[in-house]
Amino acid sequence: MKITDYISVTIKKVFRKKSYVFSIFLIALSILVISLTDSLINSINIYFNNAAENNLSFRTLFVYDNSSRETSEVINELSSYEHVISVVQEKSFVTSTIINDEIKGNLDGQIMLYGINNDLLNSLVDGKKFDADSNYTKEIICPITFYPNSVVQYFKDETNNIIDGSNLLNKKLNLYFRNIDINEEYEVIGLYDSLYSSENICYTSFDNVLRLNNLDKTLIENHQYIVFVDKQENIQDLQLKLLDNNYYSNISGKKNNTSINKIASYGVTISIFTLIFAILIILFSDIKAIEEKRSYYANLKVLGYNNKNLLCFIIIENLLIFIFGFILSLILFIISLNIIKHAFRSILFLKKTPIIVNYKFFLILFIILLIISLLVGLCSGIKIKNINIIKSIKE
Amino acid sequence: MSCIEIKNVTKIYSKNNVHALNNISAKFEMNKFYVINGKSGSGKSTLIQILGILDKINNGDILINNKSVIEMNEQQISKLRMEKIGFIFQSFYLDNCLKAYENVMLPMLINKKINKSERKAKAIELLKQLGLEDRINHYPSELSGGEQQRVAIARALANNPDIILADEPTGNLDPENENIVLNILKNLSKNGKCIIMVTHSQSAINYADKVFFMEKGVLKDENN
Repeated sequence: MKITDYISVTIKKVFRKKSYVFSIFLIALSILVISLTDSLINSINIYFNNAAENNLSFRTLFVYDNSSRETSEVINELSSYEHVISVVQEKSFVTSTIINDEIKGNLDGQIMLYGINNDLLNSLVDGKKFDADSNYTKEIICPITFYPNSVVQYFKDETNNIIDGSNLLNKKLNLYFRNIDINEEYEVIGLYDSLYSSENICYTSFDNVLRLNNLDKTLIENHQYIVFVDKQENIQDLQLKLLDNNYYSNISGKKNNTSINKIASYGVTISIFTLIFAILIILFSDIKAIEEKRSYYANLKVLGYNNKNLLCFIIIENLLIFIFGFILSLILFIISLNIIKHAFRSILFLKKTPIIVNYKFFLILFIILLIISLLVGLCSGIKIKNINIIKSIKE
Repeated sequence: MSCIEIKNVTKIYSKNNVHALNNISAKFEMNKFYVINGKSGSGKSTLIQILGILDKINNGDILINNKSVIEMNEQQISKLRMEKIGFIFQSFYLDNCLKAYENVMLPMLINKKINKSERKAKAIELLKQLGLEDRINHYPSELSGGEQQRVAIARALANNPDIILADEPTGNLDPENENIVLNILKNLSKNGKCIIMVTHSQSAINYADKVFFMEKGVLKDENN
């Protein structure tokens, strides 16, 4: 008997029997859950990592200088360290202000105005290039998600208070600087991904922050410097090197991995249970099929089928159910991804989440379940070998 | 010339030490319709299973076309069954997921002598011969009991075996369908097949060329 004969007979049976179709659907569903979980965990993980990398405060060090050297001398020295991309005085870095705008209903609260240079801006802001020569004095970069009037934590259910930053793009905001009692108008010229940031940080140029802070007579001169580092992973190394040269430093913000780890652990649990479920489906549908079809297989033996023929039938049946289940899961996976993508786009803080498809994981999953299908088929075939024709036919 | 012969065959079920067949000898020839009659538990079903090499014997010999089958392995026995013997049972054992003609094609799949292109035509031809020309594409669940049994007969004939062994083939049928099936079997014997039918039904006797009676594991000729 040729393999094509086995396949053509089995395909007819697989699509005509409800229990087989049900098994195919269950296998597809299990693979779908596992692959979707993996994809979502990877996507969220990469998104959070990218967002954390984009968050400047995670790459910002406050460095204290105990010597009484000139500011320019210290800035030059700190700039010479490896992985340092920019150094400024604290005075050029941050000031606070109050938004006092005609869109008052929504935008009535405190923001932090941070100084930044154009290189840093280019690394933060998507879709806009900031020329090295331009000096942005009355322009600001706002977060994509804006939390007026509140200090909120990520994942805290305050979605009603979130304002889509894109609504502010190209608009002018009236900012009131409380410490110096002046109002200034700023145009929103760009947006940055504000995940992990709950302080409503807006960026403007260093010079602008310095100008505003110089107007504040209450501000005390200190020896604190702001050091921007190229990557988060280099911060610890840099801190040690700074310490060797008597510079004490603190990191501005630190990523909290609890939520991500929690999501990942849920995902792994779901995947493991679903994988076990998929294996059980393959196993039980096979055992059930053998029990149900004992008399059928016995009859095939009566017709002249030998054990090898029956083993081939069982293995091909198993493989086809699994392969059809896998193909169905792939189709469902593509559809689901598009739905998720669409859903993410409508959720403000998930808008930029990349959807990652791990083909390697798919391949590994395929191979694992293929081997299990083959093994289960082989075990069932051994069971069939010992079938008692007379007893089974009488059943 | 006998196509199937049993010599001093004894079958004992060791579990309860029942002598199902007691030193039986018989010869079955081509072109003949044999009916083995007897009460339930007389051993007639055991005999047909032994004739079809579905079960092992304790003593004696079975010859098919004058060749002993006792020492054959599983592979050889399967081949012999496929080529030489067709079975019909009281239950039809049709695959409900396959159409009538596909069920008939099942035994042909393992027969290298039948080409792939011939299978379907041959299955349809067999079904037509059994009066099922308008049931070719029907699933077993769409057929009556009599029709299902005729599909089972067509399947038994698929590889053109010399011997047809029928174990109570009319047991589940009404009198009308019983006569149809018996007529088919009778015609098959006329066309060269050796039909051996086991039944407790008396009406089958009228169709037989030769009748055996089974009683307590002993096979008796109708003349004795």
